Amino acid sequence: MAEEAHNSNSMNALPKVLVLGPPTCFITLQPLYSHKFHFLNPHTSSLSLQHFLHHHHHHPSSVSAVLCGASYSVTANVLCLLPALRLIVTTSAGTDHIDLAECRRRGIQVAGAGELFSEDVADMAVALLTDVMRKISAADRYLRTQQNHDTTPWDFFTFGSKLAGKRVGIIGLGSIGMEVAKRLESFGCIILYNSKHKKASVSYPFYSSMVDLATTCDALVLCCALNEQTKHIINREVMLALGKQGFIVNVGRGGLIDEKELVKCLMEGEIGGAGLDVFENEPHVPKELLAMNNVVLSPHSAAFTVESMMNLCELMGGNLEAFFLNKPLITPVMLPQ
Amino acid sequence: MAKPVSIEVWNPSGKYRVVSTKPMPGTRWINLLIQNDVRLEICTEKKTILSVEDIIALIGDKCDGVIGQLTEDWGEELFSALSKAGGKAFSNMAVGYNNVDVDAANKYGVAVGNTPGVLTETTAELAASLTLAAARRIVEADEFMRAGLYDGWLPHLFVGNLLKGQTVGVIGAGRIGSAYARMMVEGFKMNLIYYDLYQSTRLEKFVTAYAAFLKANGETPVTWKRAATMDEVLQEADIISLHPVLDKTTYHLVNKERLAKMKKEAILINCSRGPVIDEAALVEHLKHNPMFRVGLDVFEEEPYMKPGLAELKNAIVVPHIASASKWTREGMATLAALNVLGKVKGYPVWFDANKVEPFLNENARPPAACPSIVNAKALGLPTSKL
Repeated sequence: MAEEAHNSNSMNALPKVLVLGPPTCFITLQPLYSHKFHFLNPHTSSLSLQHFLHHHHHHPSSVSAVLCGASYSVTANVLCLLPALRLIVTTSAGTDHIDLAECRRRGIQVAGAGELFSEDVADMAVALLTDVMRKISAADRYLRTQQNHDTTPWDFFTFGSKLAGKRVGIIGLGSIGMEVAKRLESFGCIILYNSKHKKASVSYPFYSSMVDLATTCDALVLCCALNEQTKHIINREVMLALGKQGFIVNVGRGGLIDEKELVKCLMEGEIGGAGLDVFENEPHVPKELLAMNNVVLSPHSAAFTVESMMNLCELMGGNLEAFFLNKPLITPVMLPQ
Repeated sequence: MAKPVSIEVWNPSGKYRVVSTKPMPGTRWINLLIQNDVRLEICTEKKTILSVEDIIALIGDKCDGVIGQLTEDWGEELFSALSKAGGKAFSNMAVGYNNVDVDAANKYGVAVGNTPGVLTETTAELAASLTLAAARRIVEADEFMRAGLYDGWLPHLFVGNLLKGQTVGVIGAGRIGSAYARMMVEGFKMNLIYYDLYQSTRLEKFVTAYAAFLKANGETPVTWKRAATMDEVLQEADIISLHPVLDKTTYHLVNKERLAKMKKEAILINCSRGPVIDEAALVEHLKHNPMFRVGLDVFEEEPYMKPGLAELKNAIVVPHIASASKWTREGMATLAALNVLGKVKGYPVWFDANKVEPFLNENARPPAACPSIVNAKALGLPTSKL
């Protein structure tokens, strides 16, 4: 009994970290860092966040750090409940689930996954592009469902497109975009790009107009963040400019594409195909896409590999440690001015 | 006696009679033949594989040459029939010719053509595509989505592997094997281990130069190693891609014992020839090792798969599509047609079967040569000096 009380006291002495979501890596992270932080996990309770904190005698003013995942929206309302909050650590590279303007107003620092997932996401982008262009998933499905090889010969299966020599437009030439470019260059692709700004350090041709980029390209790969400027950056006009032989891959955010128009263009044969890891209203996926042979679908898994999960735990723990030791964050997120 | 097969005839009054056992992609190959006084007969029978009897019926009494497919059994019987009909040439629409008894062709004085040079990039690319699909479990994920099972993001859904820093093993570092190795090393910063009877100096130099480039940029350099034995590759590599030729020594190269030597979570890719793998043993291995993954473009007894393979989630199976891009297949059709045409016209053999670009340039007349004749030396055929 005395030991239990001692454990409880020593837990209370640890810095408190409120876990919202809970994020991807929490199962792995918790045992590694439970001796350093007292994790409060409302997910294990049926109570609302406010009631959870009061019920467990954790005054909101005692919570200075939050750990969350991309699936939890940290809105201004959530921030209001946590007056002492000074840090949000998110396990995602994207931050569109956090009200960054409100964080800035309240003096809350934000740390993300930084470039941790760049190579995993880049691998996935290339995997989706090669799959949809060379028809890997479609061919696999064709072969498994084929009953009689003599009446539906193998050479009935339609040709894919070779990657070598194709012009690929990368939208968002940040760390992920650069990694995608490097990979595609090894396949003999010609790289072009659109980004917020022209990059002085790269020799790839820059296009400020999405329509011009699409007109020039055989494929587009979306690697940019979702914000007001990039919402529906791929609209009908861009898709028509890309053309009937063109392919779109999205490993960014679903809202980068006008999904209704994408479905229409695919159904009408206005574009060649798509590889999608993200969707506009997840987990809803338009039913029409499920029946199409020229699309490859993935359940928002671009960032997750065995390797990235381990690295993510270390990074999240490292950011929390840095904060509580008054050191600079490892992967701070720039807050809007 | 075989049933009469349906055919489509081009240029009926042509001087030379050439038969194609299958319709082939594109029209350039057809035009090149008919412009050179060839009566072309294309078999349009809806059958995956024509029997020896079917092909003998197609050859008939007078035939100058045949364009055939890898699935046909070109041995003593067919070369005898072709020779009797006055035939001088047969060409596979493929790089490989393990379906051809070259000794029998030599005996009857028939030139055997194949279509290398056009396939390197596209086959290496397919091997890389299968590697990525297996490593990131793309096909499984796509099937899951289509089944309507996605009801919210979960961290454990189809967690694959990052390729960077892993070791890619290449067995057979010829043109295709080397092209694949370069893609994986340069594109994904993988380390390389390869096994080949011959040293691949160009590949080694490429990886060495790339390692130096990475080091100069403050990144971890990639490494390479030429393995002394094939088993060394199987034991050390995370991803193994097979690119050997198929002959007596490579039949069932990957068998039960060798599968057991591989890492439990290895990925095995085959875009070479089906019989290089003991497919029945592979099915058993996949069943007992759910984390082991495979990407297959070729099968032991095409067009069939060994029982159980189609039901396995850790296998990606595609119907021999390594060369299935429009440009490649049309190029193969052109080269196969020009092999037969060249021999019929008495042209010499092209000086380098891997430098076939002049034959594929649609805006110029192809060289007066046979692009690639595998038994040119045995038949004493002259070589083009171009």
